Amino acid sequence: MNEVFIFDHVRTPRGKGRPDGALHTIAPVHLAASVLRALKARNHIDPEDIEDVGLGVVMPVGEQGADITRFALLQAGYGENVAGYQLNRFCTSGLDTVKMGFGLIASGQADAVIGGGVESMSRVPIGSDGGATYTDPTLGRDYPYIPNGVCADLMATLDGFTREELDTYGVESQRRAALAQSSGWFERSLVPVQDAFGNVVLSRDEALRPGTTLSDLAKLKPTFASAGEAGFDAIVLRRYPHLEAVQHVHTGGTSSGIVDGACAVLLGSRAHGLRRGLQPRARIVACATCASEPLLSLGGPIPVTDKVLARSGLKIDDIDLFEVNEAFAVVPMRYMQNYGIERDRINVNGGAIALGHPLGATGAILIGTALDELERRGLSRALVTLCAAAGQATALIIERI
Amino acid sequence: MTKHIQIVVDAEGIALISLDVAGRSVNVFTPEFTRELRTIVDAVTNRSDILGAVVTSGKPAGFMAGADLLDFVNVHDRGLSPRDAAGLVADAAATLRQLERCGKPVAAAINGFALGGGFELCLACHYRVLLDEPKTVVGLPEVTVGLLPAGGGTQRLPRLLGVAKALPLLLSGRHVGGAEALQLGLVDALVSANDLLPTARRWVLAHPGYVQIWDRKGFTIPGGAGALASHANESFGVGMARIRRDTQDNEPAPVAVLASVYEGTLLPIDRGLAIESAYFGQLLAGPVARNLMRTMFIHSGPARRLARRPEGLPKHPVRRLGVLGDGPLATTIAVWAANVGIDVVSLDVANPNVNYQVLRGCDFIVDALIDGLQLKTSIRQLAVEAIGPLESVVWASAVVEQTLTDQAAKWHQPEALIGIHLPTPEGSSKLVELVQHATTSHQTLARAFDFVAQLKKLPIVVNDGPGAYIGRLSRAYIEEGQVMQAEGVMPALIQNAARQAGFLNLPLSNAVRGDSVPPAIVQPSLADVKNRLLYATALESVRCFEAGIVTDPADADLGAVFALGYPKWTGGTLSFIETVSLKGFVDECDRLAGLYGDRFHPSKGLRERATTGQKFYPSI
Repeated sequence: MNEVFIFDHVRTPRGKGRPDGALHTIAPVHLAASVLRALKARNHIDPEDIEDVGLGVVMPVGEQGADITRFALLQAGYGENVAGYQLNRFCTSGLDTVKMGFGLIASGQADAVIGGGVESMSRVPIGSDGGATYTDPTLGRDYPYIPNGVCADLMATLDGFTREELDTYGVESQRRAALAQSSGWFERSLVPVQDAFGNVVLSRDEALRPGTTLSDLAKLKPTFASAGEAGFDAIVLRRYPHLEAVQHVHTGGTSSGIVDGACAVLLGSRAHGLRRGLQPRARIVACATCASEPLLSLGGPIPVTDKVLARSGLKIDDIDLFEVNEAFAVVPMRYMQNYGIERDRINVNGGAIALGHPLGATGAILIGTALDELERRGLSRALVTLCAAAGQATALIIERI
Repeated sequence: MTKHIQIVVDAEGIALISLDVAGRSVNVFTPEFTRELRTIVDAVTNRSDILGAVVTSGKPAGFMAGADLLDFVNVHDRGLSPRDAAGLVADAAATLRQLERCGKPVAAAINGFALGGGFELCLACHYRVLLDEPKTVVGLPEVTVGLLPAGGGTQRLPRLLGVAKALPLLLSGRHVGGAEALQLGLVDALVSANDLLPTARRWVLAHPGYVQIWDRKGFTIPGGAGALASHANESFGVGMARIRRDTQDNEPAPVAVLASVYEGTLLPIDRGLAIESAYFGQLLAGPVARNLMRTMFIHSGPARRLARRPEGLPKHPVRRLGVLGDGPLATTIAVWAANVGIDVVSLDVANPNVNYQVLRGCDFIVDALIDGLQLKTSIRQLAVEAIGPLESVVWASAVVEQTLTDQAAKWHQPEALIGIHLPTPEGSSKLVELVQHATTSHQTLARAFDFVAQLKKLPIVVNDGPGAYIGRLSRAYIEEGQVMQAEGVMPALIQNAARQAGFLNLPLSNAVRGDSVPPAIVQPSLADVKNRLLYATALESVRCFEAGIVTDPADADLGAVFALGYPKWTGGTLSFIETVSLKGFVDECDRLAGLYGDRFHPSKGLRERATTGQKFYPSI
């Protein structure tokens, strides 16, 4: 198996996923093109070297549909001869494109590939793509879709996490993200987004709420109580009948934010780096994907971590930093509890609760966040993992050179 | 020559088609009716002198009901396959489709209620005029008996109204009155009796060669269909969650309705009708539809109409009711009676200054005294002295604590003594249990029936014994819950299992749950907890049946469902056994007895039934 290296990573700042968000006027194809253009410029990419380009897109419909990657590449000046594809496995999509690229290079089928993702949640909202899982009654009877927030509340109930513990996590996520932003720790990967005049519309992550306190979060109403009452609680209690009830403990303050954003990661072989004079920043050690109990939906990160550790021959203590996507606070909290990981090794610069979760892009963004921080701290290994709906997850371990 | 449908063609070429099924007070679909309807449709289609048609009813009672449930209730017992079950209505459905595509305008002049198949016939017409009278309703109630409208109802209604407006009607099966039917678009006009036929005729004359809107090129479902419709999440996603919450997956009909609408509205109508037929066949061949049809409709109807009242005795409604006692039971009975206009006298016998004279003139006394037999007898004596001669008074005991036989031994007119049990003192139950002892007279029983009818409750009649029938059933259910709790089964698991099995009331009260034992380390499976509750109750029902406490299987089932809140989908305790199969039930009892105690051992009689296959219900 060939070694696979990460040469570079860029991302847009994440804009609020609302009509007044800074990136709302930027069409997703231009958002994707802006990171591809920046990656090309920073690394003097010769398009001929690129075997394939994958972007994670969780709502691949409307202006985000029809293989947006191919057209973003054309728009970004890669010429006519670079192929691109879209990929959707819910929230792991961005990480999965890196996994696909890893496979191509490791197996000797490519010298260089680009992974990444794009999601303009303000323009192509969640739910735009339909899907049998949400609507087909006979499927729903056998394999029910449960809104992820209800699943998060179910997991918190099963593991006994209280509202206050979750809120405490949410406050800390905000604090860390604000510190990292004000200290400039995100700068290395950030590519400002420009409008048609060439004016910068956004240069830093927009959705943070610095100074958020516990009492601020205590005021928020549980977001998913009404969905639970509508029937989803009754469905999960059919599988977990020893529970009295689902405790609805997650709020807007402990759930990932809705944002717009894009990112791109350049992967290549050792030979590619030597030929183009590029310094590899990290090596991809191993990756894995798994699926677990579909009704819990968000339970994948733990089994997939077990799997990727076994595959790499590493132990949990061999990992210096973890990025576990903050889809909901309970996901990293459960992860810490399971592995006995201290809070200072996981999501050290905050996460999606503060910074937002542009669905298709987040997986690849987290690789860059982890890599930048490993370098800043002079550490070696990081593990990145995200849960994807219906019990799926992908994990990937990187190691600095 | 047709027997059930008349057709008259007038000078302007409009055929007046009059539905009048011979030998029935209400129009229903019968095989013969369907054959005639096809002949009529052929005539409308082919005869050049006919330019259009108006369909109306020749019955004063109403336009048309749907199928006759007696034709459907035995389908499961006959072992028909889903395909064969669907075949039972295929001709009728195809005929409605032919009518719809006859190439000429057809209007329905709906001169009375049109429900189920009757309203589906109207939906297959091109225009609907409804008689504007308060009692005239339309609707598709099939889901309430575990079925779906198989004459195109799940396809035409969403094509007419849009999925979002059609689903609540299809999933609730509710009857819709005239004004709302017009507002929803279920009918096109609401007119007085004189205008009914003229309005329908005018429309037909004005629309020669009419083509149904969903048979026109470019037709789309109002509001859209499928996963990308703006209402999809609410209609199908949340809709499904709501159904699963409300049915706990015990009733297949609502899911089948939703699936038929979801899948069928993505297709051309003929393909959609085929989808509907497949879902209908599965429902009709299954046991749950049989149970719901039999208990909720075929048995509860006659019970409500006092089928078991002794024959030949004149009606004798209560004029003046005396109620003894001051507890919730006494209050409930007094309120029920007052609400239906009965003159009620309540007597709080605990009050030392109580004046028994007010009972004078009462022809029916309900005794809700919870005191011991001794005290009760002396109070009654006081009451009797006040009322005077007792010949025409029925004395009804509402308390379950003492058997009627014990009470009768201390009573000089035992033939006038009867039990009237309310399953819940606060009065939430729709059912009343009448308890007769060895010498209760027919007159007394008949008058008790008349009283229950005045109260608009559902009566069952059982024989005397400790706890009578409902009391014993209820105790068996609650005790099984308490036994499990004492074994260390988590209370939440017990309550959730009861809820998921479909019980309306949970076995553990809050008071009982307070002193819970620590949960056992190994918890039983959900299936076992559910089965213990279902089987313990069903076994007690069998014991009551074998002891002659309850003598009619229908009463046993009605009592279980309407008084105890035994799961509706089972059809009741005895129907549940037949749903599982006699042999399957006995086998599971043996397994439960081995694991959880001798009370699950089936009786000798039940074992014999399992061997011989002799069911509780004769096949209809």
